[in-house]
Amino acid sequence: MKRILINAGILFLLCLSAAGASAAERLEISFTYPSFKGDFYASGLVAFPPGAVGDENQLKVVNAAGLEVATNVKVRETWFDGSLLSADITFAANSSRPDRYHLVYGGDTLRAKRLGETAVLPVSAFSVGGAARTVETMDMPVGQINVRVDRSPDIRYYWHLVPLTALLFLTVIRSRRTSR
Amino acid sequence: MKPRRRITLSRRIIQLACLILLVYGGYLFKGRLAGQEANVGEPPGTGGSLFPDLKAPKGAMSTTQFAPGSILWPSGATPVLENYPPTLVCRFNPKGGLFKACIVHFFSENFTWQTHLKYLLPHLTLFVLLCFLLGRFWCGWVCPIGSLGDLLSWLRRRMNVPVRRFPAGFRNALVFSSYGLLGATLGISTFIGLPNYSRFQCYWFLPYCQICPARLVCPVFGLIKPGWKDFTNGVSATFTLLAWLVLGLFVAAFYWGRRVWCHLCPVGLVNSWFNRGAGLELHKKAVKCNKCGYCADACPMGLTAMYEADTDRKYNQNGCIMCLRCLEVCPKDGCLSCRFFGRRVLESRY
Repeated sequence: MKRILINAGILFLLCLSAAGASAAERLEISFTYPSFKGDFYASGLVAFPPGAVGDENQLKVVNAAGLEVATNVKVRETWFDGSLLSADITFAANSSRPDRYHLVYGGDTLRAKRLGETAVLPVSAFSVGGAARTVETMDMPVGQINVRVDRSPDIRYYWHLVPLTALLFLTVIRSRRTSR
Repeated sequence: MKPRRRITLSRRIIQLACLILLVYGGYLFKGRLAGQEANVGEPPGTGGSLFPDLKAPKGAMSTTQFAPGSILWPSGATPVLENYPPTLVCRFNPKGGLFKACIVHFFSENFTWQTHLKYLLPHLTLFVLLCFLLGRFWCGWVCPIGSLGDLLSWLRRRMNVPVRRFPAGFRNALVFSSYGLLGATLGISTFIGLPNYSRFQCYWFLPYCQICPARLVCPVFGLIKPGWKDFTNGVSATFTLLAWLVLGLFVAAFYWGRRVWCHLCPVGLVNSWFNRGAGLELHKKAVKCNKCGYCADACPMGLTAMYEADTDRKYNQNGCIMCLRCLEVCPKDGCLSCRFFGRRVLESRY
């Protein structure tokens, strides 16, 4: 019963945040233009609030003129309702033609241009101004939480040396009995 | 008279099943993938598993810094089993991801990342265990590239193109070349992992993977377009051209011969080191042999030691891919047998 109530609470919060995110958000993308003149990729990890971006096609990058720029979106993590928590967004820019870019998501935003087969180019990391809210604070009766801290990780892996050595030794011994 | 053992038919069924499972098996476990993505960015070994995730260390040049579309761009599919059993599916298999990658990829990547030995040990132990049990069984029964090669050989037979038998010297040259390929791959991977030379990583990361036929074949299995025209700089263009050349050689090798590529494959080479000591064994009872030569004719790797043998012994050769074709065609009951740690599993029967 407690779990049902918790789930219902989470669902309610998600519905609230989804309703709040129905209008399109517009965030400024800032990055440093490289010193050379030419094409490069601007790439960054962007986090979204729960329910804001249903899938990778519900966001886009636009330039100062409002035109959409082709983007490659790689989903890193999702919220438990399936909406995007974080995604790697990459788009091409040119340092000889500086422009201002904005990330648009939410509402009825639909990405039309995808970055397809492309070249290996230098990458400049960008950040998003006014980063989206990614942490939900909620009071819930969760009961006791047990936290186990593992302070001996090394032995967990080094013991593999014993079977590894034994297997290699057995392989060599058995190989010597085999005709070439 | 036809052989009573239908080993080849069983092998074909298993190859097909493995191909489907390895390439598309990740879909069976899609629900688990989202959970696994949660530990992205954590240092290795913090996941609480005996098999830690081997990911690029923070701050190091990693695949995630490369441009999308280049062959170095990560596939995006998280493997369900973050392990490295002997020779598993390719990093270019984008939509499957049941397992992670092949052992050459494993070594290359982690040499470049300079992953600590303790994190490699669990994976190496699992790899050695499977090789110790089965030897080069993977090559003959599971490898998707080998299965594709067998398909090409089947086409050759359907078109009545005679098979070419390559001399032992040529096969030995291929094996030496595979040592060269493996050495160069590991050498380059280690070199670009050194702090002073990390600037070369954007060109030389995973050098063997960049020319492996799987680079162009595995994405096709995964129903996406392979990175076939990366000509952005001299090194990438060279690797792309080499990849096409190697793919051409791969197709030609399987078309004119049988399993010729398997002599050159560095993955098969690493597996072959365990073949003679493996639990899966091929035995011959020399007194029953009538020297008909069927086993030598049938061997897709062109091995003749079994045919030439005059004593009752185990004849696991480094090149043997454990396809058991020799056992299938042997016309003498009980002359050849397959054993698992000495226990008889199969024997020739007409």
